[in-house]
Amino acid sequence: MLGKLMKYEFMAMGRIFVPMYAALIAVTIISRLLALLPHSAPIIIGTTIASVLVGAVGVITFILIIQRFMKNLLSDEGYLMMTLPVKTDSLILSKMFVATIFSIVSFLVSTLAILVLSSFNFAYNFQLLGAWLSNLEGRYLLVLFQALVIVILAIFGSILLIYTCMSLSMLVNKRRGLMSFGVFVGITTIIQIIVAIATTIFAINHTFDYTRFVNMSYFAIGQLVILIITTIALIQYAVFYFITRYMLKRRLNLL
Amino acid sequence: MAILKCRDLVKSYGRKTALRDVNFAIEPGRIVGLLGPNGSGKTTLIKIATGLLTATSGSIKIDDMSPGKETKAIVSYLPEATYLNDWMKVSQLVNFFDDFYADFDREKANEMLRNLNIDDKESLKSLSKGTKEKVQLILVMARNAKLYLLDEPIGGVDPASRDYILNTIIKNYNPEASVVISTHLISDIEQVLDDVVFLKDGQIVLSTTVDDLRETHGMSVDGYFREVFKC
Repeated sequence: MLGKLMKYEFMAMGRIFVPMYAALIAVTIISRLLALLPHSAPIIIGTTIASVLVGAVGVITFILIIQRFMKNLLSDEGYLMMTLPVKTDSLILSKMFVATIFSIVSFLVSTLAILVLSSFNFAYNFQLLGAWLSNLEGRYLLVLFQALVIVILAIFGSILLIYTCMSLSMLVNKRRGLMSFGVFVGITTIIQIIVAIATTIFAINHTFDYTRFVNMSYFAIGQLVILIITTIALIQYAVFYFITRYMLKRRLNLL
Repeated sequence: MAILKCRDLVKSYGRKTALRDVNFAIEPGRIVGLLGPNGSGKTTLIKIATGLLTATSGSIKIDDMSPGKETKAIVSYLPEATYLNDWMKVSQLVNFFDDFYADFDREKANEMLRNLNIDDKESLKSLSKGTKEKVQLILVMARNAKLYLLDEPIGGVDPASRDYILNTIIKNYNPEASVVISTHLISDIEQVLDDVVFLKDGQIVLSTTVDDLRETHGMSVDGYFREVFKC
């Protein structure tokens, strides 16, 4: 059922995103072509429009992630979605996966547009990149892969945080947008406080033997840092996920 | 065995109690009118049965299961709200129901759409409010569910369509299935009801068959309703 839910989620988001990407690509190409003309005025106009579109893609991606969850699960359409014979997990995950995919595509399309506008030499730079990658030691390829995983996890995390805020807003019957924002401020503040307390405890802990790091290689220390960051992030995201799931399952309050 | 069974069901929203100690059962093959004035708890009761709300205490069983993924597969629910994605075409909505409900009868849905002259190429957005409600009801009734929960199904449609819809409900009468219709337009549906449940301030004040009610009180359901809920 996850696949079917994702199919409809793709349809719902795609009907906004696809024309938007198409517009951005078209404007980018046109402004590049205008740059071939002898006069400079059209280039400025084209570049301006394209830059505005790049900004718009970012904002719309963010708004659409919010709107899809709020409208489809927590408002009138929730009467349909929440009575489908599917697991609550599938509902959350289908939304999260599709939102992640469109976030990545939005980022790629925007980056591509910026590079094209700034006369980026693709052939030359990809050659350089390829050469760099082929000379890279295997263990650094591992680090690159880990970085990619952390980025994707971070996108999951941000989306889950947004979902958590919105699902907690079901605790009130009015001004849910404001409530969501309040919850967002609250959650991020609590995380900051926990991190501050944890680091302080760690820093004033005199029994901890720092000398054991002295003989470690940079790579090993790097791996340790990655492990710690990923663990902390996963704990946070798991908490976000279970709050969202609990709210949808037990405290659903459709307006 | 009862298709729907409530035992000591209580639902409160903060200090407000919407349902208090509700006990009743619905047998298979019955058309039941869930009747009561506004705010009597009809919608709350239906929402608990669909799994949209969680009861504060007590239990509700559908086909001997607590509300969840399995009961959602056998319950066909029509909410009061217009709940379909309005950017979809009617034909896409038919596909949607076909994708998610194993008991959905696509042929039946298309036939009903044709009979009510609804073009399935139209997007829901372009339809009038009444037509949207018809589309919702058609999709819900085109399922071969064990239990239909219809919350105010005829409120927004014209009397002619109302007759068609009621006929559809009766015609689709699978001997195993039960239909619960919540409404305050009693006279319109009285002729199709087998049983009635009267709700008042979250409590059941009467649960009986229509025949018994007419015999005992010597009046129609509508007449008796007006007497019980006299303001």
